[in-house]
Amino acid sequence: MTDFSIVELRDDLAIIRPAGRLNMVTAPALREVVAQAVQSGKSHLVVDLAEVEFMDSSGLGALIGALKTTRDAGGDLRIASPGEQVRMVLKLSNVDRILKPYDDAETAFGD
Amino acid sequence: MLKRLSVTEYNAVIRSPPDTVDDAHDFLESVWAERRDVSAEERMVLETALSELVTNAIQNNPARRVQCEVMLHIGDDDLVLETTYIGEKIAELPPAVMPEDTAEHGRGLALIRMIVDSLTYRHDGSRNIWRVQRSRPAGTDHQG
Repeated sequence: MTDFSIVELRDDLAIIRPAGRLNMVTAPALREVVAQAVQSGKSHLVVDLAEVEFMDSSGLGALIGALKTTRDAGGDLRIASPGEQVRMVLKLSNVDRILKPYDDAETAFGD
Repeated sequence: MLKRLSVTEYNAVIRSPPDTVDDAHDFLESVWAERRDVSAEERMVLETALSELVTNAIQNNPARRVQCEVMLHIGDDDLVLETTYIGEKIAELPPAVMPEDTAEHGRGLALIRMIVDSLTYRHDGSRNIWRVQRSRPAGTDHQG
């Protein structure tokens, strides 16, 4: 149910755009996509959640794992544009303390 | 998969494999198509709770085929979601608090407890039965 598109912004920066549900079915695929991107030099990643209609704790775990993968490579991971359900899960789980949602994926690394 | 027993009760069976937690979502979507009185917030809560419960049922039984029966009751006063599957009694339930921020597992049940009025677990000798209940706001038009 979830597809991933990847947009390269710089040599070391890309946006990953999952769509659909981020759950136990698709979370492993997100981990894999992130691992491959980091291996190819994209140590800075934005996961654009605008098209994710649903996320559960499996998706949260994948995002946290992806964050660790980028940081282990000297980079970072940020998330952008979560919808209402995704925002609820991020907030209740306190994961928004380590993965603050940015409004726009294109400018998430604008600082 | 959708079987309507009465005006207020809906049932499904998730058989994994080949079914996945996506089939649980599809079940709820088929219910929402009939029950437009269930609010967006209530749908969000039930989808999150069911996804966590079915995920646990599948992940906690990796060596066996899981047949998870799902019951959803949509009443005027409350919503009840129940999952039932064969399995050994869970000796020790995980704590009701969120794990540390960087943990990659262990949030599912804590998340459910934060969005519903009650989450109960019981074992009837052969089956694990999880039940979620959430009250509905008074004065809502609950016509199916």
